[in-house]
Amino acid sequence: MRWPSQSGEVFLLAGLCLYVLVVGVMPLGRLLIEALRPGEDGQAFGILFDVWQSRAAPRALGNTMIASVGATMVSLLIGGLGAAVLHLTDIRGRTALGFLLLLPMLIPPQISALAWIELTGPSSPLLRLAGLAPPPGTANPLYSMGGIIWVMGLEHAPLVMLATLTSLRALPRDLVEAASVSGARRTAILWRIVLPLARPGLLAGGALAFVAAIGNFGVPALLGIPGRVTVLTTLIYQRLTGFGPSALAQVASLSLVLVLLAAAGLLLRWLLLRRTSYLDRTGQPLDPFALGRFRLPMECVVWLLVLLISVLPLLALIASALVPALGVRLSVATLSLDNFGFLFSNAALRRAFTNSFLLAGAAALISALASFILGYLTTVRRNALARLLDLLADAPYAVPGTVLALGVIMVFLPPLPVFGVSLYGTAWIILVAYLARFLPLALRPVAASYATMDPALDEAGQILGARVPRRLVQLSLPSVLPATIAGALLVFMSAFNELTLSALLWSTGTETLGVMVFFLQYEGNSPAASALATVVVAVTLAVALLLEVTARRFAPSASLL
Amino acid sequence: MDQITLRQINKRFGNTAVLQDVTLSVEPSTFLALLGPSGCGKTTLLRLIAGLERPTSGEIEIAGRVVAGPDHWVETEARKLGMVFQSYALWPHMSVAENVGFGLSVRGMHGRERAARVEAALAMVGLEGLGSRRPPELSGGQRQRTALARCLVTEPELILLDEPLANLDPHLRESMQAEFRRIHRKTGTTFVFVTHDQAEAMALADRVAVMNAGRIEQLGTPQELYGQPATRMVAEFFGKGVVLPVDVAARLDDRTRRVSLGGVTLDLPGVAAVGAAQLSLRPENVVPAAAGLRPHLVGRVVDTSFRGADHLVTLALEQFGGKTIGLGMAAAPEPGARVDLAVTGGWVLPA
Repeated sequence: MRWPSQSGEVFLLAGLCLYVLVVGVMPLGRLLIEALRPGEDGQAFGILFDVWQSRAAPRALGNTMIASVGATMVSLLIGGLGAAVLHLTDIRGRTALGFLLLLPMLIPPQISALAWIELTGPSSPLLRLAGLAPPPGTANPLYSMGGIIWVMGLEHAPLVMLATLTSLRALPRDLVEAASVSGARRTAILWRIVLPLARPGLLAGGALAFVAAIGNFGVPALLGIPGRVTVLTTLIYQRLTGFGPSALAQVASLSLVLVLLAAAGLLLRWLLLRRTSYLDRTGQPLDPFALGRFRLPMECVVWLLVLLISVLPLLALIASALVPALGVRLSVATLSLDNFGFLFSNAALRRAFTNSFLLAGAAALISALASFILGYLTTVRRNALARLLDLLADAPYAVPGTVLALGVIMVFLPPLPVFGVSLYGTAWIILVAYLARFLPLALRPVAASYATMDPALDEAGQILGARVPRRLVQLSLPSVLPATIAGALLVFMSAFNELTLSALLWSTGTETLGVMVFFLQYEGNSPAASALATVVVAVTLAVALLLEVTARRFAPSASLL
Repeated sequence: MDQITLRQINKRFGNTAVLQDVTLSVEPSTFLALLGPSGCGKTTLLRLIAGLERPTSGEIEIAGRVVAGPDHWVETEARKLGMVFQSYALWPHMSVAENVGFGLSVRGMHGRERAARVEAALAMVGLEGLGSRRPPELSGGQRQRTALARCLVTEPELILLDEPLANLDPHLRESMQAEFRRIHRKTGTTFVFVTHDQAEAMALADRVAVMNAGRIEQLGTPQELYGQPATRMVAEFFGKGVVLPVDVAARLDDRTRRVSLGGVTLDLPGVAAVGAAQLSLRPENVVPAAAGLRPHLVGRVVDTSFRGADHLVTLALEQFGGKTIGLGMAAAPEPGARVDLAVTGGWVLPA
């Protein structure tokens, strides 16, 4: 029997439906239902009311709002200035500067937080070298709301910078020249032409930074828990680890607010970006403004600040990893690699390396393959169902990771139908969460690559009688392979050092590197935590470098800058 | 005093020489076209006058003031110009009235006075009452008019236009040409506009500078360029026709030469020296030869197309390697038919 010629496409669609709907959409739907369940006395939305009548929840919400708004302000300031310096001035070394400014985004939040702790605390090896450390016994000044705002603000500043750069790059040179011809001087041009046109991008980036801050777990976990500043994500974590799955319905109600806040931020972003669509993207890009005699002083200030916020914390992290034990003064004599040796002698840490490598690798492969097929069906075949799946695939990435993890637990805690075993407590549940969470990261570069491919290439193959699988492999793959690889690397990089999901899903035997950094620091073994973080950062930056080289050469849409 | 004077302008981008020894002066109230193929440097020349690029060497004077030179530099914003960009460069975050009023507001003019000037400029270009529109809501022609109003409102003595009609459809282009002529007459402002379209240059300008490979080939009125091209490039680029090799046998007077065209001796206007030269023939310089007389040229019909009043007949000149010339004829001959031609005019230019 011959299969009907459409069957290849039908199978592919069925597989993608399984992926996107079961792994991504079902957990979110289930969470919504649980959160809105009636209370024990049968009152409609009872659980929601109960939770929000407690004292802890509104206080955590208040803290989440203060921390997120504050961090967004920091991100707007640093990201906006960074974009302006990179695109509007002629200072030297702008490419290097751009990558240094992106660095905080590449480093996972828990490691950024750890690095800042090691930089500013009373046992800070760097500050002690300089004789500036706070006296022993005093609390680290970053264990506070201010610390959370600062570190989260830095972590998300690249989001603002990239969004602003996109706006500035879409600003044609003509518009500035026309203002010059009209008699406007540089300041007038900056305030009346450049700023108004860059503002939607700046604010849209701010909205993105706000959404990221709402869902951030790593920073408030490392800074807020010791500082007794509880935000919604850490409250959910503490409730769930304290009470176990019995608290699921309760924390689901807490997480609903996270979803609403994130949705509000994304809606704002959408409204802002909708207004910029008419900018002409074909004109020549802006020439940078010459700073003249102010260039050298400006360069000194900018480089100093960038080194301070991007490089110094990492140096503190490395220094702290080289100290033999907490509190020992760093010098050539005390320098030691023992902490790195510990990483490979400890069984749990060895497991964590294996787990994170395998989980991140599997997530990267599977999501890249799914993106390759979904992108084909959406962009080349313009299949309506595939386009719906493409839209839905964004949801698990748009909501805070904590929310997704809760939904995944709810769906996969009961034994699976047919197999009769539960995924909860195994590494599979973490993989499921990664697949849901990181699919959009692979999908975006692949879709952008498909968009530049002429659909007639595929249609020509179809006319010559080639079926979908052959067309996919022989006609589409060569065009989109670089973007697919870039997407896979992006997924690997994000999953490899991820904490938010695995913090809620791990169990003994399925530790991830993110979890181990968190626990080592929690146990007070910050030299070991720093050593582990140093290794994770090194792997992450190596992958990022590989990604950037691949992207620059073959798939510009996946390039970081 | 000239409106613009360019002396020995050179412009290099890296190792590429874009302009070479360009010298030019433009009298006030001129409508000057910078005409040439793409890459000839015409837009760069316009941008140099605007101050958007700096010359590598040479001097630029606007209204008697040196604005660019070895020791002089006047920024664009201080040159008091108007400019219409090819993309129109309307600021998308401002209304039409705000776009037009921008130049007045940077000059410190506000309130009623500015509103009145803006309204007058909009009326001048036929956009009365559209001041509150946003650029994305305008048609192509309206955007063009807005860009023009934005120039006119500050009453500059010099307006630069960079391919202003290139983005309009052909029908709109003609009505905008008429509009440019009217506004030029009315304001008496000097217009310098860049175009690659010789018909547009012919229709609009009273002076045309034909540019090629970074140099000015010829500067003159459209009539001079058409009737007395100085170089082969001008003859071929400006107007229709064909350029054929000839030998100048004798100089009959200042502007008449005896030439040999494929063995036929003719007396024709021109300035070339004795020896090898070229003959620029326009379509109206040849007519079908009277029967019985020796033809000056022999053509074969390669194509005919009906134009309404007559047929455009394209003839390949067999003696000259198949070069073609178009000829209006009342009846269309069959393709491949022989047509004998007589030369009634032309211009003999140096080889």
